[in-house]
Amino acid sequence: MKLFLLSLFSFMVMSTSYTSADQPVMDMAPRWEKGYGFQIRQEFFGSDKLLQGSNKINNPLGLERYVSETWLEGVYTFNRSIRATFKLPFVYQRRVKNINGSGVKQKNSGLGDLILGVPIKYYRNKGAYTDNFGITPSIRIPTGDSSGDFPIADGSWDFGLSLSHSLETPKYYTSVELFYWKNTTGKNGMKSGDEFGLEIDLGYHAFHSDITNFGMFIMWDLNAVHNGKPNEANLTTFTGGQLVQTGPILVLYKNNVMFRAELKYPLYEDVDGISNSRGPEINIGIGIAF
Amino acid sequence: MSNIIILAATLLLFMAIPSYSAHDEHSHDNEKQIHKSTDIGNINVNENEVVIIVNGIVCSFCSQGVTRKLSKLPFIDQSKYKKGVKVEIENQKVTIAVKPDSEFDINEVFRSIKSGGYEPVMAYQIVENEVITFKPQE
Repeated sequence: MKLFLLSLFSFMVMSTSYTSADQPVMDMAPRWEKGYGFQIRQEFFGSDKLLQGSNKINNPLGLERYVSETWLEGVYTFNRSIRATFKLPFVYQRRVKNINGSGVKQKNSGLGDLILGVPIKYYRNKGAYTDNFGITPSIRIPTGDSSGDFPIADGSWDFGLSLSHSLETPKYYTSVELFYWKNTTGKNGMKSGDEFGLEIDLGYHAFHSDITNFGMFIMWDLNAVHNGKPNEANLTTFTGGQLVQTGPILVLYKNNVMFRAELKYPLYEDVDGISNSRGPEINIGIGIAF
Repeated sequence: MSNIIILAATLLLFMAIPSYSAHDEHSHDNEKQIHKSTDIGNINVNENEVVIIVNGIVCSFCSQGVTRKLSKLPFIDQSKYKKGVKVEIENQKVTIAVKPDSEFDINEVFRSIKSGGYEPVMAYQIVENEVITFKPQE
């Protein structure tokens, strides 16, 4: 058992994986000892735009894919250098898929895969700024249903690692994150491609009141992701490819409650073969830290 | 793909270079220092209050832990400010209200701030019309 855990940890550290820019509540909280927090986040994306490579093509069958995910996320801070996080999605998805030349409607809903992470951070507090370097090994546990024609998950154990840096001053916030997911083969031989990406957030602390502890950040997000090609048996994802998204983020906070709304629009997409665009993405979350 | 890796590495390197220097960490002796001073620059200290300069405390949401831990100390006067604590992120200043005639312990204050994830640099208190400064132990 010890050998297994050691091997698992070594693998998680040596491989790359998930870096969560969408940390519960926000990257820098709770940084206090024995602090904890929760966040509920709603994510929508999808499109009926059909791509071949990076070119839009006609879509006579009306192929489309739309996904709504409700994420429950939590964090516990042992001390500012080490935290534990969980993320659990509830997924509702529908699509029109080309099956033997006909557009066939499919839909499914249910709990997705549970993601556990251990963010390890090195902080520097230097007068008028604070920053931290982070490394986050993660594991995706196959708790999602992988049965049916349009399964929620592929039933695989996946491993991730992210490297990050964030810096904050009274007026500005920046965050850079590199992440990688190593996806293994799941049920029925399904395997998603590995995922590699970069996410950059730049933010301006537009308003803050020391008296009421109310404030607002206006941020801009840019992320680029490469998805490896899934195998033939995979029924969960569209094809692999490259995606660059960008868009604004609004963050409001009052005492220990934070609200975050994010809109991402695909700047560039290049899919393997023919696939629907990921489409615009909307992300709305509210979190609380204790 | 190689372009993405190069871009990412460059950005990470760039982000690692600090570009702010205000209130740089002071070098401290390893032992606690308490000494009297009347020169406190722009720091305004009132009776029954202690002002602490805290490195990196630039985000009020992130400093909730400091506020919470300080407000639980027995000598904090919770009737003032927000449970006895005021955080000013623009100048990295934390002001705590202290109950008169209570047993004030500056080390407890420093411990609470560190436990909240930040580094206290210096604290100022008025005692018998004189300003006393405290430095934390390293």
